Amino acid sequence: MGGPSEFFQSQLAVSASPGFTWGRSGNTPSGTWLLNDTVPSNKAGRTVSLSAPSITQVFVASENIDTFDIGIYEHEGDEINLTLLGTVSIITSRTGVFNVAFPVTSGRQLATKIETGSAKNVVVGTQLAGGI
Amino acid sequence: MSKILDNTTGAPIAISDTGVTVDNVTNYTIPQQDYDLWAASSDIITEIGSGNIIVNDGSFNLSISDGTDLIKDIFPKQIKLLGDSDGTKIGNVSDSLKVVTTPGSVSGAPVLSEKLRILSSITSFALTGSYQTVYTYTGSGIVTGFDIRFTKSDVLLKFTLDATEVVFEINTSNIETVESSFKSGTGVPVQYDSTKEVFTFDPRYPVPFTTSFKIEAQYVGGGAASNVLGYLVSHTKET
Repeated sequence: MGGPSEFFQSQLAVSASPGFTWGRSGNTPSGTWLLNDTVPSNKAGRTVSLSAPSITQVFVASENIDTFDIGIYEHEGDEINLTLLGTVSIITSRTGVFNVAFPVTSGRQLATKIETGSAKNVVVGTQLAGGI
Repeated sequence: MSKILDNTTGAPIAISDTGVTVDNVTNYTIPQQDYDLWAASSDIITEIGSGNIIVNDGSFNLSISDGTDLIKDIFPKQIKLLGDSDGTKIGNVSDSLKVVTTPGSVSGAPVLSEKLRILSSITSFALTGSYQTVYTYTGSGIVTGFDIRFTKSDVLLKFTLDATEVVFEINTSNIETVESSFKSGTGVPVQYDSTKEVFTFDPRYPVPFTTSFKIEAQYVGGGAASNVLGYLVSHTKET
């Protein structure tokens, strides 16, 4: 069990890292990678710089009441060593918040994809925990 | 102009650098906000070039060259158009532009069919002081002209379209009087040959009718009445 300083470091990291988000406008069918800042996340994702990182929460939003699965991936860029970390399912809803525990390899890039179903104007975000 | 991708293979194709998988069952329409993303894609160019994906502009499947140009936001070298109402192709050498005209009206072009008929009669009958029918036809078509021969002038002739539209009601002696001063061929398509006692209606343009037309005559002179000796009528029989 870590000391107070480790706990403090972890909580600082949590509060600083909720802003990993992806989105895709328009009708988005299955098999579509979401974009981060107009770039497909399978080509270049969100780099995780925390030590011993883990995704603790996934939050999803869409314009319509849709049913779809979101896959959370990590890779080293350009889909190299692309690995599925886990999926979350949105069922006939516009909003989904999921508490998860997806370990992530530090230094890799996070990417998100619609695995099944489809959604319109979809946005996905993650919250990570880890050390700095 | 749309940008629609048709996967011609039997399996989904991942266009990796756009983050999109093009299904082999359902065509994928590129959202307008993603045009720049697709214009920068090299993966889609590879798939189009191999024939695995065909680009459709919303009307036509494009060639590899034109499809590539459309994805790159370079306007295709060939412009192809479809008619709005019936999908008629416009733009190729053999294509035609359809224009719908309304037959039988003054502003519309009359229908010129192959149903032209020349009718004749040499039945003689005496005219009276009231109108008698020389020739009538019920149906639609166009009148291209007619001749009527009499034994003498002073005949009042009436030409009526569709029961109520009177084209002319004219005395043959009036035509004679005018022609004695001005001759014929002045642009008015009626003549009366006083030597042969023949009235001629020779319109410059065909005269359309939709339900019927009728030629009537009556004698308005003195003494013995004029006889109709015969006629020639030219018109089409559309119905």
